[in-house]
Amino acid sequence: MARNAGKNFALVSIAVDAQGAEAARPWVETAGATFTTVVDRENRLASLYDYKLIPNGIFLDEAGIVRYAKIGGFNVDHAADIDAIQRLIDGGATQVEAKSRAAPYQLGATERELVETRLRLGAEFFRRGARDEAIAEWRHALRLDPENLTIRKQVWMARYPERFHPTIDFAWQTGQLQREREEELAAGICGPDGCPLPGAGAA
Amino acid sequence: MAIELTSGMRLGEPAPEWTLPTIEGGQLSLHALRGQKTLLFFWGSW
Repeated sequence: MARNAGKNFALVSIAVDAQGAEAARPWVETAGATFTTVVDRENRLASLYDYKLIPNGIFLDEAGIVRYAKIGGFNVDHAADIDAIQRLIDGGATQVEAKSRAAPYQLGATERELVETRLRLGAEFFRRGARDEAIAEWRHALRLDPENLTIRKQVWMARYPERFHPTIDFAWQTGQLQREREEELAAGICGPDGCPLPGAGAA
Repeated sequence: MAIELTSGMRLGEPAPEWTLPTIEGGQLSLHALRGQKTLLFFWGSW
């Protein structure tokens, strides 16, 4: 996006990662990034912006108003995504609707608060090197918010680091997701079409 | 026209405020970006 230099435009990357800046840094350096990167190690923004998966692109105008939001599958190498952003930067459009994957359910206020608390506790345990305790907290959060892939991947990264370093095993992730979904279905936590949580509408 | 996306964020409405640590060890608040168009790109190394 170098062609946008001098256009009163800022790119901020938000690394969703309990491992913190250390995990994000190599990726940012590989990209030769000149933008600002912040790290959301407690996964706070997933609740605040209500997303359950990444990567996402959210465009704000000069007043901080949301003018575009693509939740899941946002990719700066995809023509449709980059065209939308470019039109917003150049002023050819003031607002653009993107196709996002709809959230399968909405958490109630109490559940949301519980999830946030568990995520915060998990991140703190993880920071202190208490991996098992961190995983236990994250699993509690996942039980309340079973479609939240950002939580599920956090658990996987802590529990199965060999699947993420030195390379990320996406085929394993696909299989693991299916295995866990089957277990959850058997345990009555989550069906293939969503999760009938108390206080939250089923999909 | 506000189009409902999620409970926490809608097109045409202000983005929820946050402050997070930067990778360089500083802090960044969303409101500090006011006055310029901004793309927030959410990603993970996984």
